[in-house]
Amino acid sequence: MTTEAELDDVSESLLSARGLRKRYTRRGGWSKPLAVQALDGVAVEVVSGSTVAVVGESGSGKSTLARCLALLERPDSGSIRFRGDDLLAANRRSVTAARRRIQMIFQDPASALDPRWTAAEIVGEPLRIRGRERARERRRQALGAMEQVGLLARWADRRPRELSGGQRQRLAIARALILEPEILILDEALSALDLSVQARIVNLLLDLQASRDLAYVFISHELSMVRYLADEVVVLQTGKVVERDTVAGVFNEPRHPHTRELLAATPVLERAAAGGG
Amino acid sequence: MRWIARRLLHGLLLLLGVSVLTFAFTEIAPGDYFDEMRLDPRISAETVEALRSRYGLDRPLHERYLRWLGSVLRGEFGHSFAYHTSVGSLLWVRARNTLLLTGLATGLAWLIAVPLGAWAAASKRRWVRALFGGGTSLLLAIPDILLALLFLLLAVRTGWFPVGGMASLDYPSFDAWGKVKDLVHHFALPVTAMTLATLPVLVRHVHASMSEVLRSPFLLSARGFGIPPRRLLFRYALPVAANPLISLFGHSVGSLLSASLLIEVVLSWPGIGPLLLESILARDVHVVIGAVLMSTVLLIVGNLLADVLLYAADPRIRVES
Amino acid sequence: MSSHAACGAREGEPEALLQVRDLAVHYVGAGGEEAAVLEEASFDLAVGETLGVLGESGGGKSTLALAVLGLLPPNGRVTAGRVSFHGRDLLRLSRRDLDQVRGDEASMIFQEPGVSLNPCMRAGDQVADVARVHRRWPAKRCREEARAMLELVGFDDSDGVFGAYPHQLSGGQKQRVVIAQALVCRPALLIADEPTASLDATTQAEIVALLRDLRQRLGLAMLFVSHDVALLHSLVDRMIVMYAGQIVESGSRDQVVLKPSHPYTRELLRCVPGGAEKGVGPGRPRLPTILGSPPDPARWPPGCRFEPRCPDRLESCGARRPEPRPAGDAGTVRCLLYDD
Repeated sequence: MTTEAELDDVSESLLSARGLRKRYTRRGGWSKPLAVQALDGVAVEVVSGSTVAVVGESGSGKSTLARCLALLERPDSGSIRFRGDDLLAANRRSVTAARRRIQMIFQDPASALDPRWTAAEIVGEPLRIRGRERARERRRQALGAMEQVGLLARWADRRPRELSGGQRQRLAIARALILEPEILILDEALSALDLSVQARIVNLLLDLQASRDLAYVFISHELSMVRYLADEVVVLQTGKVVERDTVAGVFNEPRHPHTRELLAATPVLERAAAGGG
Repeated sequence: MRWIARRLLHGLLLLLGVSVLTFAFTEIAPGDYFDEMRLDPRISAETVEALRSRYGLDRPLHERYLRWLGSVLRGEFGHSFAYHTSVGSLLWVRARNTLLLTGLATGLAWLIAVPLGAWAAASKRRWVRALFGGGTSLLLAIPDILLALLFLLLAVRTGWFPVGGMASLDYPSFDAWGKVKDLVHHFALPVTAMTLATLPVLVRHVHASMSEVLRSPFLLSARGFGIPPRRLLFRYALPVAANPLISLFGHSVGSLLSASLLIEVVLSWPGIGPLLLESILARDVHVVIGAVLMSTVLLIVGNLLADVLLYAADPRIRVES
Repeated sequence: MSSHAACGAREGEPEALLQVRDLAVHYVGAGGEEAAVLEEASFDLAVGETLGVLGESGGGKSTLALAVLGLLPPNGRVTAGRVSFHGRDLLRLSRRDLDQVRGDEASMIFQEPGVSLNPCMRAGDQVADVARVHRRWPAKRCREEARAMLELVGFDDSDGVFGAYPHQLSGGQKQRVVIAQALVCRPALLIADEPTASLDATTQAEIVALLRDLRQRLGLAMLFVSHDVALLHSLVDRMIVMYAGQIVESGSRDQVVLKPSHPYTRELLRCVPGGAEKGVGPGRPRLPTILGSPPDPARWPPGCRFEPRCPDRLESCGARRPEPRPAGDAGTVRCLLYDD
């Protein structure tokens, strides 16, 4: 029975985090250290080709969870398994390998891109670090990745500030895609973008998910986008998971009061019965 | 406050360390004060040896250090071979003169730098920016020694100002008004030279710090509430910009003793500068060590002062209970 | 500059508090090139009314809000137009006179409450200072007014907040303090530029509820700039929609949201994710989007600015500039589809 359950786990979930705890100590000049329990026993299960959304107020631990899952930060305790390997106990080489499979996209693409580099250089950078391909091959692959996210080849030599916000976010996605990841962690990746641009990036994400079987961890405070993009929703409050359900479950029959509070606070557009779409 | 007591203790240990190190370094330097006498055929080798043993120079290093430490406790800070007096009394007069010069000049420089830098940062006029950038760059580019020499030239050529010293020889005979006039006359050149030497760095820091703060959104917000420009600049922007400036202020206090060395030497100001130069050349070690220690004391005091001021000025640093 | 059929202007109505006519703003770029980021903006705001300004980034909505109170950045300047407020043209006031209007008769609040407060001043003093500057009351009276105002914006413990520094307050609390600053002199007009965009959903809801309440109690008129259609629809009386530096549509909130006239408004509304969940399988629904991207302000298209992206464009749209014309009840639209 146990073995079967374990096998089940390995075959189904790509990334599985259990009992994640993380405490920050904030220290000012002379102020007393202030301890904040950012994560207090959080479990997340990511299945390949699907989207888990993490919602909650600021300070609920959303971003800490994102950074822990992206292996950018080490939780105080708990386990993170990628294809069954415990990454917190693993050696550096397998962590590096896993890191290539788990990529993160941030809210502000401008601050995540080096302003002095061209688009193609930025996208090809992860390859350069890995150091397997020559420059010409790197550029070819970079252009391929740019094409996939809808960036034109003639923009390859532009620098980030010559691109719009949506284009910069596409660039960040292209850079994340070039190492052929299996999971993208999107930390408020759409929040800084205009509505019409958001919609296009969402469509892009859905296309990529369909063609590459990508899994997303979608961290957002915009519930309408969450509803559209996610399969499963995890609601965080002060570092704890208060509700976990399918999208339909969370939005149609929220069980936890905090979920209901979050839903009630989001204004929903009333539409004409036969409105424009 | 316990915190200040801790800082003072820290400073004391630092001073002890610095004194040990300077002692060690002067030991490494070749020769001592009496070596020059050996070249003089009229003085016998025995006399030199007698002098050396009288002043304890033939004792091992640690013994000399402990003896020196004892004299520190008596307030003498060792003995100057050249002046035949305790280093304490010698340094005290010289340090007072230097502090008078640098204190006055630094105060003046700050008084000019803060409004000037703030005004230049707030100004939208192109010529103000150009003049400001050009002026400070020019002053920065001129080495202190050249500045001092220019002022010396001015004094010699015009005869409007005395060429050296702090007061006229017949100073005690003047009446009160005459004394003031004489002092101002003697102070004018060195203080101006010193002010011009420190001003560009200060004014640039004020300018940079204010420029950054002036771009911050809270000022736009305050402008939207009709806070008038001058109040905006000095009541709203300046306190926020003060943080790096206070650290700089601490640093400028710390360098009060050493900042004017060149200018003092060139303009013959009876301060630490010329004394230090002489003592190093003559290997009058206790004077050198005393001067170094005094600089260290000022550095510690300056930093402590800056920290206390920062604590008072910035609520973000203050303790939250 | 030619149009007198002002967008949203209801000419001749006596109670217009703010009247903006043909307002135009240019920005000068780093290389000295000029961009006309706002053109021919005209609208009226009545006493106690709330007008929403809807648009995406680059549409000119923030520029419009800033220009009204003379708060444009140094590289921006008003090149044409009139802003009458209480019968005076704000664009022609001296800095000194304008400072007397701002904060006293009209106030502005911004998106990021975190950086809208002076980090080195106590919250209460910042509120009291606005009263001090405008009213010249003795310090004690100013502090009392500030305290009363802090209570009005929802602080039960006004003493505690009064002595707090901004870094000790949460985002929502900071925005409340900013609102207290803005309203301590009881202005007739509040201009709010995305005041809740950086806040949590729950905090945003609280702040919006507070503004609604204060509007009622103080008889406040509001110019509320936002990219959030749903939020605007729930708060405002009328709306103007901005695209590429122009007001493309105006009208009552229901008219704009439920029966949009301009193709841009329609397309924008379609992008708002509805209640639909993610579809599964190859035939799943995609979110509607708007093709292409907004034009460069330094090189506007010669005709309609939305023409390159418009699904309903006519042949003439690329060459002819549309002028605003009446649409619906007391609304306007800037589109050749409505030309006769």
